[in-house]
Amino acid sequence: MNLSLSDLEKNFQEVEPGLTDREAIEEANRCLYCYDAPCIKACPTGIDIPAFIKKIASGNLKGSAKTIMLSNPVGASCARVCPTEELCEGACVLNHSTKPIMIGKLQRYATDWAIRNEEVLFEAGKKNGKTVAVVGGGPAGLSAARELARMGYTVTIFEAEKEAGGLNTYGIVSFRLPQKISFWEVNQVKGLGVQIRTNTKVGKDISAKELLDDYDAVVLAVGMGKVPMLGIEGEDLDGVYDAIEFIKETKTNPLTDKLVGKRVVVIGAGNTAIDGATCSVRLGAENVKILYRRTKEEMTAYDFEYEFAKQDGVEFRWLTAPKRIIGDENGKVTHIECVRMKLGEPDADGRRRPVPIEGSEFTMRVDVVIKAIGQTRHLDLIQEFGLEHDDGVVKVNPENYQTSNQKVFACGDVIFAKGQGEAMVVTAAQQGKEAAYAIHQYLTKAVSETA
Amino acid sequence: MSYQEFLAERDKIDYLIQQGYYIKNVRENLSGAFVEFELKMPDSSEKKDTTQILHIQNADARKYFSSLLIRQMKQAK
Amino acid sequence: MADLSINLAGIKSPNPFWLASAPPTNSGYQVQRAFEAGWGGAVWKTLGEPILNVSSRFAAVSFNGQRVMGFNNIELITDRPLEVNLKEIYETKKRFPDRAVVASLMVEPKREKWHEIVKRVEDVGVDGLELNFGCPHGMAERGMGSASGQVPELVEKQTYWVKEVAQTPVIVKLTPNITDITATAEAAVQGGADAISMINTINSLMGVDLDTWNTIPHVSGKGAHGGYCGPAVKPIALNMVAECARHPRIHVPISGIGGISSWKDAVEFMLMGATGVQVCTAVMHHGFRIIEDMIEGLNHYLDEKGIASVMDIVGKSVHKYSNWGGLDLNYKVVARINTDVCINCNKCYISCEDASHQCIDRLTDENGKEYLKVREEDCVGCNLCSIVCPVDGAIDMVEIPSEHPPMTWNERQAAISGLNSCNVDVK
Ligand SMILES: Cc1cc2nc3c(=O)[nH]c(=O)nc-3n(C[C@H](O)[C@H](O)[C@H](O)COP(=O)(O)OP(=O)(O)OC[C@H]3O[C@@H](n4cnc5c(N)ncnc54)[C@H](O)[C@@H]3O)c2cc1C
Ligand SMILES: Cc1cc2nc3c(=O)[nH]c(=O)nc-3n(C[C@H](O)[C@H](O)[C@H](O)COP(=O)(O)O)c2cc1C
Ligand code: SF4
Ligand code: SF4
Ligand code: SF4
Repeated sequence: MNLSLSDLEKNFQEVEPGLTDREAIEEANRCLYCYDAPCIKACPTGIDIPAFIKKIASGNLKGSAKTIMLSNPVGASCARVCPTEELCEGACVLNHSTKPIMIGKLQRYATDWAIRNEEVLFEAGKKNGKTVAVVGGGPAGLSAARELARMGYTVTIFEAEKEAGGLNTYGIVSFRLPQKISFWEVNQVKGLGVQIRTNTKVGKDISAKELLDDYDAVVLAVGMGKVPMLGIEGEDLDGVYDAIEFIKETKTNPLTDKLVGKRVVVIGAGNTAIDGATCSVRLGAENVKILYRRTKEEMTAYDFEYEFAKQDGVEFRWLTAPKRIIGDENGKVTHIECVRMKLGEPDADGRRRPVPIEGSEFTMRVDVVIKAIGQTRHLDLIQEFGLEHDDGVVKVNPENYQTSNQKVFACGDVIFAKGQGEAMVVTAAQQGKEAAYAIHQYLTKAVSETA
Repeated sequence: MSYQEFLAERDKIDYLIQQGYYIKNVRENLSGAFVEFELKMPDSSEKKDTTQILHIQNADARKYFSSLLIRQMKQAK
Repeated sequence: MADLSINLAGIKSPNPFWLASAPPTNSGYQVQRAFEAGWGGAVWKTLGEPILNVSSRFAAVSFNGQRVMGFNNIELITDRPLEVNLKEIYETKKRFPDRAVVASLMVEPKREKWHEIVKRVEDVGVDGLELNFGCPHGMAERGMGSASGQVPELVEKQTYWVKEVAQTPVIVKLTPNITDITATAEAAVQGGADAISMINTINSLMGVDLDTWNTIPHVSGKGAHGGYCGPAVKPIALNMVAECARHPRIHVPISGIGGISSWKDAVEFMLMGATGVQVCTAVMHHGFRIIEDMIEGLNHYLDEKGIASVMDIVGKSVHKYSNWGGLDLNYKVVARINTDVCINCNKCYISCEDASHQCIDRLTDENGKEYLKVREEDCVGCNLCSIVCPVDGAIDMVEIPSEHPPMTWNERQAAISGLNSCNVDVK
């Protein structure tokens, strides 16, 4: 295969086209405008879906975008990455009569309009003199900041990376979510006067204590960390990558041809594995396999992602676990040794535990191994804040996201417990909003108690 | 089609105007318009008829002579 | 944020959207729910001697799978005693003092009947009165509604009786079931109306059942004509509003009604001379909640245009509405097909070929691909092709500059007759 870099770049353009004006109008007019609609209840952020669709039909696109973004500060990203068939579209009443409304695509149509027209949709509330520090500028942090700013708080986001947006900016592949969408959402938040201090890692560039001392409240929204170690031999060979780092590379640096013609295996079967695999295909890899130690049933990636990967030509090897990565004398990956698995008794999270079949080991020739078996936790930072946690999952009061330190509220992936399927942008956004409201209650209550 | 009819009738009108005629009278009925042209200056050589009548049938040609007529009346003022 | 408040003949409301007198304004419960949702005003379901209704009252036409393109009813005015309505009007006005509450009235064409109801209604504090001279069914058979609304003298006389005692502004609601609505509108003005509203519903029979041969709807196997409303009647209503707005002797404000479903419809009515609008069918279809988009859409529209107050758009298009004889005969548009956008359905071709001027050619390019081209010199600019074309942007109607100055039919006829008459003078 002869792929030029510009071919690769084309591969990284957004795959799904947006709706045309006519498609959008026809689809919008198909929506029944249900009352107390089930689609609203199925949206974790509770977007008033019939209202925003009606506004597309009536030509009030600004209003439509506002309705979406009001409930979901990262609504433009969600229009692209939400597993809609499991959420809003899955709940659409038309599933029972014709076919569900393409809610995600309509949401994208309205928000694309706002992006194109550079609309500023919200205003900051009148300053109330109180300050909140938000640690992490991903979907959860941005949503918390947006709502706090609308209520009049002076908000500062501390973001370790060069740009805010979290995994929307760096983690979800460009051909599903272009960076400019995430940047627009970041700018909407900035437009409310929220200060975003990028390249500022809490725990390193500024201490947790400083934040606790200087701000009235703190939102901890640092998400999760990098991919953990597999704990097998050969993990540090040249050609072994962390899926999240690997994807981030494609979103930050110019694409390279280092994967052209290569054989790739991806280990894991969640969103990250799929994104790592499709990324590899689009970087010109000759063959891409996903190895998963359980079966398709236990896989956490959404159906649409699985379909998407299959269409990209990704192969799946179920009930297969890596045992050892083998390299040549130069330290480069050449083979991977795997073992076949079978499913045993269910374990703590209810999924059946895979157990190796003895003597079933085999090796495959590979050039690249991408690890995508989940994400580590920001344990150090959590400890620096002195918060109670479960194995790195920050403990919160489920009512209001308050942590063991009453001043600190945590939301998003940082409180995402293991074994619940996949974390979602949309839940992170909703938790961010709710944390903001809880902080408001906490701080106004504090005032009325002292007053 | 109808454009060709228009061109043919317009040419006839233009020809008479070039020859020094002006629109003297217009009669319209079910058959279209009968436009009477008259020479501005009587032709001393008497080669030209003093009046000529064109039967204008095409709709665009009927708009056309009307525009010429309005211009002619404006110029006369 | 633009100022959306209006003042219609002295009746003020925070936005131009009122509920029309109809089932949504039947009770205090409903009108208060509407006001909570944001409606600027409501014309109460027509008051009069409580009537009896039949069961099976409405029907609608669907068009290409879209429900309620047109809507029809054989419902009469309120079936509740006046006292009950008045009590609820009073309570509603007390809870929402900033909204317009207008009482719609219909009684027999007798002076004392009008005097009585006007006084009783005004006692509870309504902001205005609307005289229902429009209902086309049922009440008309008893000499009320459109039966009196079709006779200019009766409109004038009854309006006059009302004005004899009314303290609040009087709106006369006109029926569209008449050849020339300006005749009754002018009669209302003569009678002293402070404003007019239009349209009420249009006589209609929605359909006949192919199996039972019953009318749709039917009441125990029999039907009667109903009143038609909803999106289908909008062009009819808009014309009637525009005709009244440009009529020199009809100088009172107009409340526009008929098929208004969105903020865009409202803008059109206001540009054509309505000071505010009333809505019925759209609310019957979707509920009071549509008001949110109506207000927001109107606001965004005005902001985008840099217009400070919605009152500033009232009537801005009226001067553009004229008689046919005032249109420029030398203005010319032609159709132009954008081959790159066209999907080759040939719908434009067949409509021009069979129903217009046979000026679209079917051609083949050097690669053997079929395409369509308009012979612009033969195109009369009727718009038909662009109307049937299913693809946005495939057909543009483009203006062709004329070599002649504008010429209307009236100017042309004046020129020809001027010419001919001055010839006569000479002879
Ligand atoms: C490859 C991949 C694909 C995914 N695909 C989907 C999908 O299709 N649909 C979907 O709904 N979800 C998807 N997800 C999940 C989704 O991205 C997350 O659930 C979501 O981004 C969580 O938001 P968050 O704000 O909690 O965390 P993050 O997005 O991780 O943001 C955390 C932010 O905190 C910053 N930060 C971390 N530590 C510090 C520190 N010490 N100081 C300052 N800043 C710090 C980080 O730089 C980052 O910007 C995917 C995830 C991955 C990894
Ligand atoms: C079921 C129904 C009942 C109506 N009753 C009244 C009425 O009592 N008084 C009245 O003035 N108009 C009545 N109307 C007419 C409406 O007020 C309005 O003029 C008409 O429906 C056109 O507006 P629309 O297209 O928004 O529905 C009624 C309409 C409907 C559909
Ligand atoms: S459930 Fe479906 S049809 Fe009903 S409002 Fe939601 S998207 Fe529209
Ligand atoms: S505008 Fe009318 S006449 Fe011209 S091409 Fe279209 S259909 Fe034919
Ligand atoms: S109707 Fe429109 S799409 Fe169809 S052939 Fe004509 S121009 Fe093309």
